[in-house]
Amino acid sequence: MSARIVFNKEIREMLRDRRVTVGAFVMPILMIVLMLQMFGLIERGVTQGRASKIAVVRGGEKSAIAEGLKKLPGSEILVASDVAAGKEMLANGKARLLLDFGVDFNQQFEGGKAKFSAYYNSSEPLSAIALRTVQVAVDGVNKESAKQALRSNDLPEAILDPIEVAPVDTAKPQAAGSEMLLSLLPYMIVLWAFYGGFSTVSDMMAGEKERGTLETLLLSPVSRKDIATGKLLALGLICLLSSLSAVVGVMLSTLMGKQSTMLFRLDLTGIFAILAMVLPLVAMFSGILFAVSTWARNMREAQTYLTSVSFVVLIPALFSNLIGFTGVDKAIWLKFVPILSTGVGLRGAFLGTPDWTLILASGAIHLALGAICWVLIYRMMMRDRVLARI
Amino acid sequence: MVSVQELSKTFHDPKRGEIKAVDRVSFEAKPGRILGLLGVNGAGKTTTLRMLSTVISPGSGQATVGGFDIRTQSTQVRASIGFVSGSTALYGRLTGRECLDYFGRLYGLEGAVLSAAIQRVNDQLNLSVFLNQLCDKLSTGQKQRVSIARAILHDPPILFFDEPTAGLDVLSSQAIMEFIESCREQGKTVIFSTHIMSEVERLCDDVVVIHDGRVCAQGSPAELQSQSGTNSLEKAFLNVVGYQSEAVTL
Repeated sequence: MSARIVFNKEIREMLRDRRVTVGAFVMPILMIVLMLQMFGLIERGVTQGRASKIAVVRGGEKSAIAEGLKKLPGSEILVASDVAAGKEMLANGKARLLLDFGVDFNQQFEGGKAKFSAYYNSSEPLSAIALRTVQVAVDGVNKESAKQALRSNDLPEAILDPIEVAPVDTAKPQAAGSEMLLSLLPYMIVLWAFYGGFSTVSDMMAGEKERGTLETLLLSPVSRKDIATGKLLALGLICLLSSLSAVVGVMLSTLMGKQSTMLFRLDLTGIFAILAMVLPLVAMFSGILFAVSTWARNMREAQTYLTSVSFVVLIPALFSNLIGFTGVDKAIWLKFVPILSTGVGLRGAFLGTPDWTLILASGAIHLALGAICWVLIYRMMMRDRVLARI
Repeated sequence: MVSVQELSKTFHDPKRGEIKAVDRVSFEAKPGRILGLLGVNGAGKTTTLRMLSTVISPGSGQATVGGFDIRTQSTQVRASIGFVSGSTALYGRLTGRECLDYFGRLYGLEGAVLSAAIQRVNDQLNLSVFLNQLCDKLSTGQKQRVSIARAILHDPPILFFDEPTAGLDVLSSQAIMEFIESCREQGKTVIFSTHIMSEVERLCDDVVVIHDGRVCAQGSPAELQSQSGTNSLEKAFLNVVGYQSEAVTL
């Protein structure tokens, strides 16, 4: 009962604190929207062929390769008067690639062996993409040429492709076309579960010590356990809401892009799996944050400690973002690594393939660590040296 | 009634070692009387009051507050006291009314009883003009009045005032002194900690002089003066704490 009174007061105070509303709610939404819009811009740039602005030195635009390039969707052929002018176009970004076929390219090609120069800039991703586009066009022309040779010798065209790969996508519909989101969203959820509480926790105990309000609270007949419980639960709620704000950010961004994403296709099992991972994580984070704030003498000291602690959170969260490249994402030990396991587990939940063993192990680890923090907090609350040190 | 026997508290400082903040302090405060804890800064007054209000635990000794043992009945002790300090310690993002509502609930008041209690302290301390303003926006004097209102909201029989006029202007200090006098008239037990002689002379029926954590003298202001053979409380205090002899050696 008393814990609920403390909880209500803490929530009311936090919601009136601009640092909390901005830090825990506005920032995650804003950052996610901005990041996704930015990634979307890059993605559209690549897929819609904005990268493939290819300059051809005058005379080469009628070559078989240039004709082949024109047939590729999104590639745009520009004509440069000479090589120097083409390099100028590369330098000022008007073209991403320059092709110089030389004067006798067509004759060489008809003779069976031809070569042309492709100028590109390996330090520019768009230039490298344009080079790959040209290689696709060249492959197409080479293949067509080979087919003609086969036909003229009454040989089957299948000789060219004796083996064919038939790709079958096993990803669930939830995951289709969501690679970027899948690497980003779990990371953001984990990160904001921590940083949401970061914005307010130093005020909750260290700040109260500094202002003397903690002492007035200790003077009331409420038990110290109830005071800690009320404050901890309020902090946990802020961490949870901040974490879910990241999801809201993705939804908003999706609505702005007028396209549906996996989030709208999440089934109840997926939502349950996500909550089953986020809630224990929040219990642990709120415990760690609150323990640090209880231990610190004042807000400044609390913020210094918390900044150090944030790196401990940041590194595994970041690693979970990149774990797909390491090949250890299915390793058993991973299920027991705090924070990292949540990032990996969330990815699975969004993919529609929640790993219940991982969810259980990860939840147990986070709850156990959270419980240790809570015990430490309750012990600190009983110690004069901690509460009276200002 | 507050009864203190041989109360002690030692702090451990990594640099200075053991510090005896309070050393075997004994005194008694009675209902309808104001007991003054008189001492210089760092004498041990606040530590004594913090032990009596169960915010910190005593090292040794015994004390009862309102008949409740400070070691074993801390919840009952806290429910029987009101504590006002020089630091107003209010929540800046809550209004005065919300602060009172919060603490009223923590003291177990609810509904109509809580509303009546807030109305009572509002009338008593004339808070209505600023009660609905955020505490951050209040002047120091207004904050102190809300702070007092918070301390007496549950109508405790025992009140501790720890240098309540610190940092206040003359008018606000005067209002607080009058309020403390009214507490005596209501039959409450008041312990008033200060280092300002004029406040002791005006308010206190009994005085306990604390210096270096120990009780140096106690009695009525008149008794202290006669014991030390001086004609003012200030001189009596200086005499009791041995200030003159130290001044000569300097």
